[in-house]
Amino acid sequence: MWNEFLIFSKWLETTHLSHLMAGGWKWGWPACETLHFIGLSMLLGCIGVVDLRMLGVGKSMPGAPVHKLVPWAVAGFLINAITGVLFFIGAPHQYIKNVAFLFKMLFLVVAGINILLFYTTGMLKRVEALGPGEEAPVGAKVISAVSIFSWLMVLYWGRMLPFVGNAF
Amino acid sequence: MEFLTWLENTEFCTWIRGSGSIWAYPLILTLHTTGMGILVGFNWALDLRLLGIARQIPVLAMEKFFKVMWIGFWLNLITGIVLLAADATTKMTSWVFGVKMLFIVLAMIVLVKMEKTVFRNPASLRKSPPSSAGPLIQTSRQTLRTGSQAAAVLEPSLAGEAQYEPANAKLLAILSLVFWTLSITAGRLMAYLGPQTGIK
Repeated sequence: MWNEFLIFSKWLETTHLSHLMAGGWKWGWPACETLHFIGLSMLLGCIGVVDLRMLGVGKSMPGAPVHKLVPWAVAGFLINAITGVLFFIGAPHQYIKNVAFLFKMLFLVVAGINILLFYTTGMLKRVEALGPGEEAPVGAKVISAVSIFSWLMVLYWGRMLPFVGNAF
Repeated sequence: MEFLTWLENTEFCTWIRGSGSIWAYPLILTLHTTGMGILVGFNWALDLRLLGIARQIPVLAMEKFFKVMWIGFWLNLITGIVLLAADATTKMTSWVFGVKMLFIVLAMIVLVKMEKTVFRNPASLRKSPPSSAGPLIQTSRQTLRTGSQAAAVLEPSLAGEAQYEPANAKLLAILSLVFWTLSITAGRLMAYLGPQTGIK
């Protein structure tokens, strides 16, 4: 499995897209970095408002409309998923053996499972029923705290890519 | 320039820049990115609301998030000063850094204006409230014009507040989105345009 993955990433490096990202088009990498930071802010801010509401900041906001910000957090995530995949295609070798990258992916999975829990345990309904000033259920608070923590960890390990693992 | 050279070569700045410790440059840089995410991200969420997304959220209920944004701001001012000091001679002569600072100042002016006009001065609320809540809010607004007990009369108007939009709010929201996008872009491009030291 690991060997197939190594062969796959070797092949990725031979693609035209990889060449473009790795310097073939001078602005490919900087443009994706910029978009990655914009996506980061969108994701963190929009999901942050939802999470903090659950934890009691801005509690006079009713639950249902706050949830309308989630698609914007998803949009930020998609920007970052696309640009992130482009980074990987551009220079797979600097990620596959990078501990920081491993941790980043790990916390991405934690954040993902956390979101699945929110939508599959009926928590969404309970949260959308919250009126102005109403306290969120404990389960929602835990999910929100895990959400904030895991996204900040994704950011942290992403930032550590060049320092722990020598990516650029 | 002499000052910048001295600053850059102080023991602290040399440690930040060159120690290789993940508690030095990498930590400060990560905190700077986190502060950016907090300040810009929450500001964007607020901008989206002012532009009509999630319209049922009462605007005034989002005032609490200004505190969060200010935490992001102070975090980034402090970490930004450290990052600047550690690379002073290069950054202070970089036009890209100048552009970044310009747009941050503009975005912060917009943020403060938003806080002052949209959130602190309900008289700027333009459209009339829904008729059912009319009389109550009419009185509140009259009281407000006299300038007394502003906070006390703000609360009852919250109920009907969701439907009407503060004047100029949309313009401020668009400016905020644009200025932050440009400052992030300039910030990222500091690593590619203008003078370089190889510090990421």
